[in-house]
Amino acid sequence: MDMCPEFERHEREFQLNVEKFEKVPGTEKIDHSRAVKAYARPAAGKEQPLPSDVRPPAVLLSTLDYLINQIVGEDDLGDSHFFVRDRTRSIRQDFTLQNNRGLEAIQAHEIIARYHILCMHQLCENKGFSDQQEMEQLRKVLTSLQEFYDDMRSEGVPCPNEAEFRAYHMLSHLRDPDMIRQAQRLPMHIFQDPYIQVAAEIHALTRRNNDIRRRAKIQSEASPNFFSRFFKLVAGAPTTYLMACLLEVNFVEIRKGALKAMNKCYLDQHGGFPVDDLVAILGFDDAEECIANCEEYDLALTPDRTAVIFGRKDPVTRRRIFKGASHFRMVSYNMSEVILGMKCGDTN
Amino acid sequence: MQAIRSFVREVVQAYKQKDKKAICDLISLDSSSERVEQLSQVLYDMTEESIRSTVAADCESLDAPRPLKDLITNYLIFTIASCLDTSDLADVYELLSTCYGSFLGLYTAFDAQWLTPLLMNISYSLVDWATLADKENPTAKELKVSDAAAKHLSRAFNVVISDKTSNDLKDSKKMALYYLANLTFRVYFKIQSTRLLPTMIANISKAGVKLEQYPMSQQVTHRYYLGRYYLYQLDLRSTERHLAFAFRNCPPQNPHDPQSTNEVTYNNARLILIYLVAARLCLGIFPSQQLLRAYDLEVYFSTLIRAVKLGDLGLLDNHLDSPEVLGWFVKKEIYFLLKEKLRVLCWRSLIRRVWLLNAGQPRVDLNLLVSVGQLLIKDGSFDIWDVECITASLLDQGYIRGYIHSEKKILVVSKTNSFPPVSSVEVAEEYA
Repeated sequence: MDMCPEFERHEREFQLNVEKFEKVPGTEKIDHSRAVKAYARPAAGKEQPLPSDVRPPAVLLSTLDYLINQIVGEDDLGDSHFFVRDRTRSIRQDFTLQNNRGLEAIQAHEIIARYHILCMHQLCENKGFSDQQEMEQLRKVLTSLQEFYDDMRSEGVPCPNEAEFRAYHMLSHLRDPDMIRQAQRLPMHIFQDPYIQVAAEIHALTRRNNDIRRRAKIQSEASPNFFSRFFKLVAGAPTTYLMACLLEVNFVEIRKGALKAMNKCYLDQHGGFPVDDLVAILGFDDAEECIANCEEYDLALTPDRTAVIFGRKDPVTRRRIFKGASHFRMVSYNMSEVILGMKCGDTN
Repeated sequence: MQAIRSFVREVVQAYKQKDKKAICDLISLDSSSERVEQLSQVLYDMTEESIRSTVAADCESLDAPRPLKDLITNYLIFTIASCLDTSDLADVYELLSTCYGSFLGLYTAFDAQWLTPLLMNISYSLVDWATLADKENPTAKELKVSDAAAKHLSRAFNVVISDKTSNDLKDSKKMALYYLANLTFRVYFKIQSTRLLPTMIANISKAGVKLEQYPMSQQVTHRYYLGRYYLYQLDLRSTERHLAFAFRNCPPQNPHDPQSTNEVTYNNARLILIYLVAARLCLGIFPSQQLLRAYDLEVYFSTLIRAVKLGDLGLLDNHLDSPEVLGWFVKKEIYFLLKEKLRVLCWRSLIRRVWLLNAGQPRVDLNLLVSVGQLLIKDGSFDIWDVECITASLLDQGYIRGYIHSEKKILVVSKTNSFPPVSSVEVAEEYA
């Protein structure tokens, strides 16, 4: 069976809705062998899809194979992103339509999840890329996977990658303590898997209670805010490349929590805190990134800009800095090559 | 046959007279009771069809409302099934479920407050039978208990909440409010679904009743569940508040008295205590050895207390991970909680002890802490930055008062109250 139903191929060609990966090179005509079924937003008034248009699991897997190896593998990740994201969404949709929640569905969803995680890191500086949207899709995929794993367990079928994706699920909701609760309900062999243990450790290290949140998420006593260990752990062996990619989206918040804590424990009369040290501790790319980060929070620098001055009070209100910080969000965050560059050898 | 007809007559009469006690006696769900045994013996010889027609005929002649006829019919059918050893528990549950539906048909009437005691009985039974059915088939995709809660208890709850007839609890359907809520909580916790808890809690608070007006047993149960819920959310102060109340008001008894029939209350008290101790440890409040011993919890918590007091990080991790207790902590879902938070408190203790060793000088050498830390944690990657980081975190949260001189790698503590008692340290509401 084909990767795309015949009717749709003709329909989209007519509507001039053909992606470049599906065109016969040099023309506007659709290449019937390379067309991939698009995601169809379910809408009221639209008819149910024909059973013959719903691709069976084997076809879905080979389609996914094609997308990953021929499209993502051969082409530019950013360039193909819209196409692959849409077509993988369609693959997931076909699994849902036929209510397939078995091993094939799991295999497909696992690959798609990994793809999304990779994109979150590799494309985070691309214009037009929205990490929020990507995270939204990723969370959907991971949530489906959690349900599939539960189903398989009740049937006694083991899933070899379950620990890995349970861990991603935990990390995709880093501030949610319910993830920790859920992890403790997993069977012991999965609970003790390094993936889960590292994910739980990351939850613990990043938990802090120095946030101003008007609609309060609970701020809990004895929260570690152990940012130095966090960045060490992310750079270290137990954290896989994909886990680090997934965590990157939280770096801004974690660094903010770190800087807030530091701002409260140093005195401004003792000279500043060296920027180079901050770069090392907080895993910045370089001094420029660190300085830009600090300046966004109104932290002052020494005249030669080699050190950050913590502990200053705002001269107008005599209160400590950061009071404007809750409204601020860094638009671009740079992934630290230092951290992730060490992992490129990882074959994940 | 005759016995059935007189049963129907009695029920209809009780209904017309709104006789609370009689209706509960008649619609009895206690399979060990004499009445139920007698009934089942008579029913055994009848077909379902004949039961239906007998009841229908009698109800018609007695001018009983249709929902009542349905209730009686379904009750009888359920009763016979529940008494047979050969019955499939799932089927029995379904029959009771149908019966419950008929009952709610009656209960929605605006003047049905007198049926509230029966509501509580039948709700309890529903959950009970659902639990039994699930035990028989634990891997079923749809657990019967969640069916019970979602379909029936929630409907009953809505009926109860919307009763505006009386402000006096004993004349209102709201008398069953916390009973139903507790049953529902029990189900949610059993199926590990915390998703629906906040909605439920919000609905209860809108009901316009005070928990204090209800029987103490319901208060204790309710606050136990609230405490567990807040513990999931890591809201330690709320957890502590609710569980402390629950524990204090559990009926007192002697746990080591072999003659004591209060095994259930002992177990309940112990259950509350486990989570209360866990929450309090993270707040720096330690239970006495006697208390732990009285409830057989020494083996779990004593070492933790010692580790925190000494600031011994290695002991903390080793104990939590030791095979004898690891499974227990994980099962109680407090493993990660304790691991995360007691580690912070260990650091606080450690720094304080190093400070004390220095004869009360306000300075603590951070490099010294690195050496100590490495000894305890046995992790080579542990360095001065980590010490400075955790110290900063402790200062930030208020566990230590002072400042760090980063260049000299010294922590300087304030002259007064440099290490405030852990239990007095509050999370800031508004961070400035």
